[in-house]
Amino acid sequence: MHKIGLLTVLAGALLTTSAIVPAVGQEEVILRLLPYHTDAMVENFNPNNPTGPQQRTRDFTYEPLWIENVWNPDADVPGLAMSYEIAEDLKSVTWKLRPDTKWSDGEDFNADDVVFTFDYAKAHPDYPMGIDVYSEETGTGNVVSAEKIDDLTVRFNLHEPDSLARYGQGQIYPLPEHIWSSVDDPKNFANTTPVATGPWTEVRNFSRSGYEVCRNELSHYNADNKIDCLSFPQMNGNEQTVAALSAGDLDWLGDGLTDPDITFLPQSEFNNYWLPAGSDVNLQLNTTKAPFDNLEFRKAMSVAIDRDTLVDISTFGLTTHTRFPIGTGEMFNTWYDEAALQPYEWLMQYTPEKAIELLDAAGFVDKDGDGWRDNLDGSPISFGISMPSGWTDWVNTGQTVAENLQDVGINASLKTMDEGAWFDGVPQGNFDVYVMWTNGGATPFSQYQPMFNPRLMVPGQIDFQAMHQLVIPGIEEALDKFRSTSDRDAQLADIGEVHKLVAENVPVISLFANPTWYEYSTRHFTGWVTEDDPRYRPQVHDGTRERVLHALSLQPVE
Amino acid sequence: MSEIVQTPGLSRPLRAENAAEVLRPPSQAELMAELGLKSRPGWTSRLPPGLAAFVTNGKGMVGVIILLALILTALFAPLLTSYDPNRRAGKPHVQPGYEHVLGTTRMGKDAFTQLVYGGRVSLTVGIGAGLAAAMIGLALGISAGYFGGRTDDIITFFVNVVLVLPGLPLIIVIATMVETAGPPVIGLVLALTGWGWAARTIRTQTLALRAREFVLAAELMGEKKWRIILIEIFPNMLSFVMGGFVLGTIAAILAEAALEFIGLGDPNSVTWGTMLYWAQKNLALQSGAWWEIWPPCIAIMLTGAALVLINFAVDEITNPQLKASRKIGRIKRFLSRRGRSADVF
Amino acid sequence: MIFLLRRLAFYIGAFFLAVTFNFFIPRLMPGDPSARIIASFQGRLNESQVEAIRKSYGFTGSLWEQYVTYVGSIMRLDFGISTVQFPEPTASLLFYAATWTLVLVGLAIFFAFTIGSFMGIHAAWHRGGFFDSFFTPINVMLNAFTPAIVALLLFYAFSLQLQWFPLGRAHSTSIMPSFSFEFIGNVLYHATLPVLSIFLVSFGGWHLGMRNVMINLLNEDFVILAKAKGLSDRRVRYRYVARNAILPQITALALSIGFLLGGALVTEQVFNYPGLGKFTFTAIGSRDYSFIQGQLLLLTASVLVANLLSDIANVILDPRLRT
Repeated sequence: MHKIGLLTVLAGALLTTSAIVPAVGQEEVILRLLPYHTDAMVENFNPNNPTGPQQRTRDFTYEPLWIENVWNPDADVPGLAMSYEIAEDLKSVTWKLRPDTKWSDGEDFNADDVVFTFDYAKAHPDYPMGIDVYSEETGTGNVVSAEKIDDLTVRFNLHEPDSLARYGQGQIYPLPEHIWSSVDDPKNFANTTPVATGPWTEVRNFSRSGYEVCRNELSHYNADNKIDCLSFPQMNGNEQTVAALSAGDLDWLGDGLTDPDITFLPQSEFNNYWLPAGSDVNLQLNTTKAPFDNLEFRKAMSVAIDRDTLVDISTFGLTTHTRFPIGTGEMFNTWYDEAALQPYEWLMQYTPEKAIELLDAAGFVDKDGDGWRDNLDGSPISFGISMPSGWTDWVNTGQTVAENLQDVGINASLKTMDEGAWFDGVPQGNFDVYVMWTNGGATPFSQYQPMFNPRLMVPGQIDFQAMHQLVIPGIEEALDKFRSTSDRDAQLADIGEVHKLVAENVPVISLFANPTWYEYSTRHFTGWVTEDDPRYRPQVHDGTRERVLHALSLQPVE
Repeated sequence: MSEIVQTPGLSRPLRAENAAEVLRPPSQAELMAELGLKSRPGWTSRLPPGLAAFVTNGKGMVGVIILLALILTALFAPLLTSYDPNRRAGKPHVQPGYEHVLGTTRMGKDAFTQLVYGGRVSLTVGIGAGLAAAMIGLALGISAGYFGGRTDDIITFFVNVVLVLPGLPLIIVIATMVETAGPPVIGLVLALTGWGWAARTIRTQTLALRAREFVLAAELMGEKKWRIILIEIFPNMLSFVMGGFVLGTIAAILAEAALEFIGLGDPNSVTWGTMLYWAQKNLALQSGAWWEIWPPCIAIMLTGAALVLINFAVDEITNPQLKASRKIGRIKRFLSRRGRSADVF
Repeated sequence: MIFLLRRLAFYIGAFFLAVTFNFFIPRLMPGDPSARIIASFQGRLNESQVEAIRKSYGFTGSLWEQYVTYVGSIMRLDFGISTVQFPEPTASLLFYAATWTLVLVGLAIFFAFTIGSFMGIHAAWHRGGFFDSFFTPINVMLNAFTPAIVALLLFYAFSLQLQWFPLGRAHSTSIMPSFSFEFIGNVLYHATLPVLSIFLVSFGGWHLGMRNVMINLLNEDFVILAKAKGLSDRRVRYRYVARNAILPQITALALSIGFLLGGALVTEQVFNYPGLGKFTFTAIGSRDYSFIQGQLLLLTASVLVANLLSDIANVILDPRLRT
């Protein structure tokens, strides 16, 4: 009796434990990710607030019209729109919206919301929604109006023909009209209970040290969504994030790491990273000043720079080489015409003898006997490479560039300054030289347009990309042609023309390609994007619309 | 009450051991040796009394020797190393060895070279700022204390303002206005914000001196005011100026290192602070490159320690009570061995 | 009374000086938050949008109007909205950061003051002995080892290598703030190393201060009399000498508590502690003017109040000042 009783108890215990196991499996699946470092979380879920909230709410909570799959352009994924159609005259784009879509509070999503979103952006230019609204007053921008065709069709009308307009319109994040129509000051609106259509919309457990956003049952992703909640912890500093990822408190990260093989990988068997080449980094030269107004001088600078050292040492071996001196890099290699660019490849080779030869031939010699080369008119050459003091890898880069230039007799030095002062100085356009990132995007147009638009070269409003201030009419023409055709071959030819003109004029000096920062842990999830499976751009940061698909494609570890 | 009186049992056996010697009266030489006194005054007695007090102060001299060694190393940096502190001299993170005495940094710069050249800048900034602060403090402190009245009110107001001024935000504001917060800028700001304590102390001392007979006598004799200040008051302030200088230098060296460490300096300059900054930024600790982080740490700590020792000496000269206490242990022991109360001290 | 009134007048004057200084900071520093926001769009904003954003972060009105508005809002304790932690009111952020600073620096000052003072008493009483001649210089030297180094070494040894303590933060992310033993224990566990690093570089000062004042007092007549009366050692040491010696220490303590709200920038930076120093540093880097101004004002006000309190204490304790 006793024994049997014991056995039953044991069997019962076994039964209950076996019953519990699936229950554990059904426990909430939480993906922990860190798109943004901060000292304290703020209860703000405004999708167009660039000081942090946007990093966490876009894509995951608020959906764009279209998800550009930048690495696989043929496999674009619809967002809130199902398809688009560019008009024959390139003066409008018509979007078919996703049917039967509901906002997370149960209201229907339809064309009215998209039209409202556009009108809202137009009414609030200081609220940065990233929509290229046309302004009659200044003649800038291109989208004139949004027109409702039917409940699920919207047409954006353009001021000028533009084959690229759909790229910009695809990244509109529609706002629910029934919520935002009563918000007068969107810039200062905290949007504490977000109403959206993305897979995770329900905020819970908010504190200054983190919060969770949980499943939106009404989302069209819901059936395939294996992740119940996203958790955004508050963290700041690499030591912390690396430790958290190693300990399993974080799954997905995008931090700049030094020596990841020593400082990151050994910390945990689950730690992984992959740093695919990102956007290029250029040296911008102010061509309104001597000696940078001299083409031979710019060419000499380009060959005087030791890019191997820049890549291997100054940037810790995490960056990659750029092949051609065209201001953009491998990110847009589908646009290369290699044969046409071959003749310019020498500009990327480290040949100090060639630099000396070019400088001597152009007349940049030491006239006053101080050991440094002088300008053609005899005035001494002495310039600074301006750099915010906290950007350490670029400070290293600037130091190496200065050393390289000193080796060929050019008196260059690194000038570090406060970051705010640097940001303030750029639009004035009076720096000599600085190191500059380039813009990402679907086509190289997004880089060349701000780089060569003369309207962005007006002192006081100079774009970060346009500090060189070298007006090259041929490039403007080619870019205009590029924008006004949707024929891929014609576009290739136009970009080819731009490439050639950049390589000939050397308005900027290409240095290397920045890495795309991506670290992840396989402790709780598998199925991450890897070098062998590059289905999406893998960053966790805002600006990568694919990140929501990446998250949804992960498999929780049993 | 002294322990001896309360616990006679403890001291008795001690005396018993020495019983044989006690029978014979000790020679003077033995007594002096026990008290740690020298029989003949050394060469130091020929020095001016202030200096002699300093030279005979053990702690102070140790401090001076350490500091001198650091200064000399920095001064003769070009003789000690053939590398350029600003340039790469080898592969990244080379271990210390023959080629690179203290190894190389993540950027491949020679750590020893950076250390000795960095010492030049760090010590110059620290000592310069300390000296400037002491001088400003001296000038304002004496003026306020001696002239009194409205002058005193105005100066005291500014002294108080400087004392409550948050230094860090000020330095950042100034740094952003001049674009680059290089070591000279940091030194200047530290000098301009660091004179408050010196001025306050010297003012108090001057107030006390002003009422003394020799100053009054000089005034009655119709001496010019600047002469009284220079000849009667200033010499009495020397040790306070010295104290202000030493404390100011410590503060300046530490503040410079801290500011540069958190990234408010010019990362392009080579100082102990920026060495620490780069070591931390490049994760030297995490990647096992101890030689990138320890040398500047030790250099800063040694400088701090040396200056503290010097300050001890200055304190003891300023305040003879503290100095007397240095010998008190010996005298107490001397007396207690003879069963006498040591309570008078 | 006249003395106190004069001091009060000074404090009010100094406060307005600080307010004015605060007012000019953002107008003297180049750059505002808009440049950073615009840069983050990587060229996806057109010119009129850039212009609108610039304008919305800039200053409008004449300098005098701005000053009057500013002083008015200060009087209402309205510190504006933080632009880094947008749109959090600066006041509530300051309160949050100040709480952690109080935990961190408060604990450190408490331990440094008590332990340092007791060591000072001990060293002075046995002056010239082993403890005095060995620990006094050592402790004061520790004082001259910058917090940057001490914090870094502690962090390296106990957080990175031995992993006895966490790598920064005020508490683990997995625990929700509450008044439970678990949470408070977690906070103390996280605070151990940062507190220790501040403690190590500050207790030597209290030690030396106490020792020097004590030594000067030991030769005063009232102490010799007390000894002569045959009072117990303990009684003379604590009731007679230490009690008098502690007065200047208390004044210094008041001042350091005033500066407490400046935060411990370097330590907070190394241990990623969410205190005022760290927030201020971030705010300065990203030109969060309302936070910078709020923090400076808080700091100045607390230093001035601490000074005023120590003045009042001095008047009460020293009758000569009452005229």
